[in-house]
Amino acid sequence: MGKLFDQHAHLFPGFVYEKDAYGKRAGCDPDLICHGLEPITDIEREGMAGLSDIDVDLIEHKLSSIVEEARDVYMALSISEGIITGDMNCGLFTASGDPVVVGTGIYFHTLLNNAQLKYINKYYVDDPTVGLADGDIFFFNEELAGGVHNLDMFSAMPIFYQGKLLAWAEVGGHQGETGSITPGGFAPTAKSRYEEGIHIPCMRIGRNFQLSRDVLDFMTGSVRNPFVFEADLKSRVATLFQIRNRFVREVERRGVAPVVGAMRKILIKGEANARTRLRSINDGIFRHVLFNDEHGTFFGLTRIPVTVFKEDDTLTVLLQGVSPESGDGPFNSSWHLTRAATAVYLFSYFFRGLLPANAGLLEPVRYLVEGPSIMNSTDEIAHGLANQTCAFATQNLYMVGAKMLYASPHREAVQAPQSRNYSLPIFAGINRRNYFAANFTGTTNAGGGGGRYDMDGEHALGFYWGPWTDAGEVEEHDERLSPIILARHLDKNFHGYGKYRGGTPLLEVTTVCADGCRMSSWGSCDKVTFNFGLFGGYAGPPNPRFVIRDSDLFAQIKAGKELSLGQYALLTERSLKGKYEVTSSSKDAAPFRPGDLIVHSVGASGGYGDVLERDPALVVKDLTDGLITQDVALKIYRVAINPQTGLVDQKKTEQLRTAARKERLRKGKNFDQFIASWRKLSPPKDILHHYGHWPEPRLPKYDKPFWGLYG
Amino acid sequence: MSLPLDRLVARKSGACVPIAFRIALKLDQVSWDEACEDVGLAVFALRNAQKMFKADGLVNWFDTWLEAEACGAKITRGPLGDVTSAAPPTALPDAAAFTIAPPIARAADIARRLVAETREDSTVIGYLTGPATLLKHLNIDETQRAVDYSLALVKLYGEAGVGALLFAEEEAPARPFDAVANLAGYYNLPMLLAARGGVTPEQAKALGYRVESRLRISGWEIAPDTAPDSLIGAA
Repeated sequence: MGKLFDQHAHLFPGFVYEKDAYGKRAGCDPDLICHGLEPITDIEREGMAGLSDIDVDLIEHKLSSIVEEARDVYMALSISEGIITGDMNCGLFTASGDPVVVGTGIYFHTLLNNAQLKYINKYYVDDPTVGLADGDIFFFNEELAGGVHNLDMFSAMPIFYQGKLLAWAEVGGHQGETGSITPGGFAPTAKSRYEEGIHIPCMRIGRNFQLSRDVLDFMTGSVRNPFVFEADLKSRVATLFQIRNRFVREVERRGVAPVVGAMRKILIKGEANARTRLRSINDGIFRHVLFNDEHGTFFGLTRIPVTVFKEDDTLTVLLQGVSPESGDGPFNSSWHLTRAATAVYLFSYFFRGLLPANAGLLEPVRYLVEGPSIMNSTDEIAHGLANQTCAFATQNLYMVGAKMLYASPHREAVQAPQSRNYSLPIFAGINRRNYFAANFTGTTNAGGGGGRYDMDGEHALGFYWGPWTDAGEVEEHDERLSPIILARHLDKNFHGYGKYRGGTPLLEVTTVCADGCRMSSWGSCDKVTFNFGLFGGYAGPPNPRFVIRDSDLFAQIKAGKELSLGQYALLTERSLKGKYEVTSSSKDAAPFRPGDLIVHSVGASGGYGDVLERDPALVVKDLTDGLITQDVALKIYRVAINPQTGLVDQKKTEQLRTAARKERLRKGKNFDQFIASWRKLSPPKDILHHYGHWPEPRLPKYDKPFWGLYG
Repeated sequence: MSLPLDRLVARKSGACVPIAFRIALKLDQVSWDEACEDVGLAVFALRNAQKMFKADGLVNWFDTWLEAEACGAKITRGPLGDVTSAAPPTALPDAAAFTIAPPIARAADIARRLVAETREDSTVIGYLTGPATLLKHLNIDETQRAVDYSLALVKLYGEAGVGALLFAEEEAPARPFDAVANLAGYYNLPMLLAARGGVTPEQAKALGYRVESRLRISGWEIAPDTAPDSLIGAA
C-alpha cells in the first residue's frame, strides 16, 4: 500500500476486505472473482511480440465491431424490456476468461460474469463428467458466482479453432422474471436467496451448437414467463453464434497468435492508460458518505462511507464503517458487485476517453470493501436488490471523483451524480400479445443527469448503469406489458437547483385498463436522497412511490376534461378524485385495477454550484420550459421576474441576492460551533435497527466527529 | 425505425452520408460473392464503415444493375462487384417475381437489418437505380414495367423502415416516375439523387429530388481503391 494509506487507514480485525465475504460453494469460487487478470499465456506472448501498435488498433477495431454488432442483434432479437432498452452486454473474453471488448448498453456488466468462465476452465474442463468442447453453450445467473443478481441472465460459448480454445463469447442481460416470490424477479420482501427464484452458477445447456430440450424445459418450467424466457435465451444463443463466426473469420484471416496477442495487448493498454490518467491527478485522501433509508419494504437507516486514497498511479477505494448486512430484505451487495458498480463512474467520467472499457482499466484500482456488511454480504441472505445497494458506492464515488478531478486537467468530467433515486414499478400480467410478461418499462433508462461544472445536467439522460440505453417506445411497451402508459414528460420543480441545475427524469404515468395486472415496486431514497448536489448545488429530491387508487380518471376522460398528469400538478391540485398514496418505494405485488394510477420515475439529479450564481436568463428559461414555478424562481434563485412581461428585474434581483447572502452570513456558524451542536443530534431509535452502533456502525463508543478517522 | 431524414438534417452539425458500399466491403475483406451469400456479413461491413467514417447515414446497396440482374440480366463481376460485362434481360418477370428475386430480396433484407440494428442513431437510405438508367439496363422503352419494379422496391424499403431513398443515375438524370414519387411520399421517404456525371442542386431540385443544404452526400460511390488520405475529399 502507499504511504498515505499506511499512515491514515486502519483496517478492523475480523473483517474481510479484498474479496467476497463468503466461502467457496457449489459452482462459486470467490478466489476466482477477486484475483484480477490471469497470467499471460505462451501464445499471447508470441502474438504480442509480432504486433505493432497499429496492428493492435486494427484488431481492437475489428473485435469491437464484432461485439457492437452483437449488441444490436441481441437487442433487436430479444423481447424482454430490459434487454431491448439496453440493460445487456455482449463480450469477447480471453481464453483465460478476462473481458477484452464489450458491446454494451451499460458498463455495469463489463467487469462481471467472467469468473464463471474461469470456473469452467478451472473445475470443469478436466472433469470427465463435464468437459469443454466446441459448440458448448453455458448459462449462468448466480450472483455468488460473479454476477449482479439472478435477474441478469448470461450465456457463454467457448471459441475453438483447430481444436484449441482461443476465446469466449458471452451475451446476457436483464431478463427479469426468475420464479421468485414476486413476479418479475425483484422481490422486495425476500429475506433469503431461496425466495428469489432460480440461481444457476454455471451450467451447460447445449452441445454441438444446439440447446438441450430437457434443460430448456427445466428452466422454462421454473419461471412464470416461459415464452419470454425461451425467446430471450434463444436470442442470446443466436448472438453467441454470430460473435463466434465473426471471431473465427478474423482468426482465419490474421492467424491465431496475432489475434489472441492483440487481445492481451488491449488489456495491457487499458491498464497503462489508467495509470497515466491517475498520475495526472493530485495525490490525497478523499471521502464521502451516503445514508440509505429503506430495507426491503420498511424504513431504516444504514450508512455507506467511501474513502479514496490516490497515490501516484494507484487508487485505493475503501468502504469501511459500513452498516451490517440485513437478513430482513434484499438490499445486500457483494464485493465484486460493489467494485463493478463503481466502474460505471470510473469508466464514464474518471477514465473518460480511455477505451475500450475493460478489466485492464481497473488494474491500478484496489478495492477494500468491509464485509460482512450490506456492501459485502454473506451468501445465504437475499441479494436481489444488490443493484440498488452497490449504487451507494457509485454515488459516493461521483462526489469523491468530482473533488479529485476539479483540480486536474480533466475538469470537464466534474458532474453531480446521475440519478439513483429509484422508485420502479414492475408490472405483471398477460400482455396484448397474449403471453405473460413481468417487467419494468424503459422509463428506467431516463434518469436525470447531474449538473456539470460548466452546464446544466441533461434531462432523461439514460440508465444509471450506462448511457447507451433507450427509454423505448410507449406503444411497444403497451403491447409487451399489461398496463397502458398515459403520459411521459419532464415534470415541474423536480430536479436539484444550482448554478447549473440537475437534469429531470422522464416521468411516466401509467394505468390499467382491465383486471389481471399486478404491480410490485422497489427502490429507496424515499426520504433521504442519493442524488447529491455538488459544490453548493441542491440535491435531487427524494422519490417515494406515488399511486392514486380508484381514481375517476376514466370518467374524466369520458367527460372530455383536460387533465394535467404531472406529479407536481396531481399532488398540488388533486384534480383527480381517488385515494392518494405516497409511500415507501418497495412494495410486494398487489392487484391494480382500471383507473388506478401509477406515477413514477427514477428520479432527478442534483445541481452544481450556488443557486445565487445562476444566470437569471436561465431561470427565466426554466420557467418558460415548465421546469420550475414562479415560487422557485423567487424563493430559491432569488430572481425577480415580472409576471406580465416575463422579463427579469435586474436591480431587484441583485437586491434579493445580496439580502440572501447576508442572511446566510447571519445564520452561519463556525466549524467548532456547528460540530458541537451537530454531535448532540441522533436519529430516532426505531430507524436504527439495521444501522449498527450509532454513530459508528462498527466501533461501539467511538465518538470522533467524523467517520474514517480511526487513528 | 431508422432516423427520418428530416431529423437527421436538423442535427446541430448537419449530416454527412458518404456512399461507401464497395469500400466498406473492401475494408472488412468481404468479397462481392460473400456479401451476396451472407447478408449478415454485408450488414456487418456496412456498419463498420459507417462507424469508421462517423457517417450519419448509410446506403444499403449500390449497384445500377440491381434491378436488371433481378430480372435475369447476365452480369459478370469483379471481386468487389464491379460490372465487367452485362447483357440485359431477355424476358421480364412480373413485379411479384421481381420482389422475391435474390438480388432484391437481399437488398431489402440488408435494409431491414440495418434499420433494426442501427435504430435511431443514423439514417438508413434505400438504394434504387434511377429511372433513366433503369430503362437502359432493362433495355426497354415502355416504362410501366420499370415503374412496377421501382414501386415494389420502394414498398419493400418503406416497410423496412428506411429514412430516405437514393436514386443512382449513370445516364443523364431524369424525373422519378410519378407513381414512385407518390409511393415515396406515402411512406414519407425523401428522394435523393446521385448522378455519375454530376448534377447541381438546382438541377436535382428541378427534377423533383430533395436537396438539403445541411446534408452532405457524396456525388457518387467512393471508389474502393481511394487512398486513405483522399477519403474525405472523395466523400
